[in-house]
Amino acid sequence: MLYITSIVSIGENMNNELDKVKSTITISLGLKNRLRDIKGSASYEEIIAKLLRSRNEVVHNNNYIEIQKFQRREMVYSNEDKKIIFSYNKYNQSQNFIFDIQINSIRENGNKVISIELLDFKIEDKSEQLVFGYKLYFELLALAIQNEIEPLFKHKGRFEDYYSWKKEFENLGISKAFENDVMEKLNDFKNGVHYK
Amino acid sequence: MIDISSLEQYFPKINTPLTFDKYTFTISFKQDENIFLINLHIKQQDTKENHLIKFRFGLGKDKPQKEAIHDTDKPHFEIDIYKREETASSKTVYFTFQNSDDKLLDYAKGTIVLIDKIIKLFIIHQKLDKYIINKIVYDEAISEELSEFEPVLLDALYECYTHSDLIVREEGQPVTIRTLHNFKRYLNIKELEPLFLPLLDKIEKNK
Repeated sequence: MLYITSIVSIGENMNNELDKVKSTITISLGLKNRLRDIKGSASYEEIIAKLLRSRNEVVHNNNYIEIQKFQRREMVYSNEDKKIIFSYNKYNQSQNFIFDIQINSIRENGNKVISIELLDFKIEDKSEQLVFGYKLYFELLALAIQNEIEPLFKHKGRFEDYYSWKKEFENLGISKAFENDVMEKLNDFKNGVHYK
Repeated sequence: MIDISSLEQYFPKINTPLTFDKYTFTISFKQDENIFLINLHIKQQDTKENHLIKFRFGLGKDKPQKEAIHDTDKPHFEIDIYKREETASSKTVYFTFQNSDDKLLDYAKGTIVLIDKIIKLFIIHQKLDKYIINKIVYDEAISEELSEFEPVLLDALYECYTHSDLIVREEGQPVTIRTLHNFKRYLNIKELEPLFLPLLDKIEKNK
């Protein structure tokens, strides 16, 4: 018998917190040799993931209908004299998960502020006003990720750097959230649509 | 691989977001050597109100994605509806076509017919002005020239449905169900009626 290490189970429930944990399964030497013969330059993890995909195809021909209900969670982001009260979807372990950050209300020095645009009125430069809203949005997103999935999460680089977000979201196993929670907002930013 | 470029003639503008009231409609066309995509996106501007709808509907073939559990590089039909009200919910339909290369162009034409119907229905439900229909799709041309392809697509989708799993995820854990009752319960969404009702009819007839 031989141990193959670092195999992450990738199947119906892929990309949950267990997928981050290295594990070991025991298989015979013969099977391990056959796997090695067919895997080519791929890792054992990649070849097993591919076999699972093939299995899924045989079982239901890659056809599925998925219905999800999300609970909304509320959180407060504090920055100096500002409090942003926002909500997002509680994390579930689906590939189709998205955060959908929504700002519910804003306070500055205890007073309610109608919109983010009223927070940046001191900024004269229009393009900097635009940056202000999106910078704030991505801070809220990072906070939601820290609260729900990875307490040590920190975005590497500037918020405009979609490549880092893509890598980070892939590592977290939430690729669809990347499209909805990152790319949609970055496209709005690129098109000069102010974040509200 | 199919060439979808001739189908652009049924839309006034492709790959351009068109905003009417608080909704943005985008017809996406994408094609290169190994991928193609025809998609309708409808997105409601997030105005901090308690309700929000995002909608994606279409046909495509993507590059292989290592992290996906399905084969994204096979031609597939996909629907994604996300709604936020007091709670939020999403509905995803992902059907993969098997051995379909010679029929893909017909499916693409059928998809355009459904896109047209879904847009018209959406405009009625959201009480938007009817004049905007022709700013998004050439409705009459689609009805006259492509209607015959709708049943071709519906037949293919029915085939996929018979080999599908219905996964319901309410508290994180997925539950797989396969009953007509649940199909009705979960997929009877007003925005999807042009697809849902004929498909349901087929399922009931073949029960």
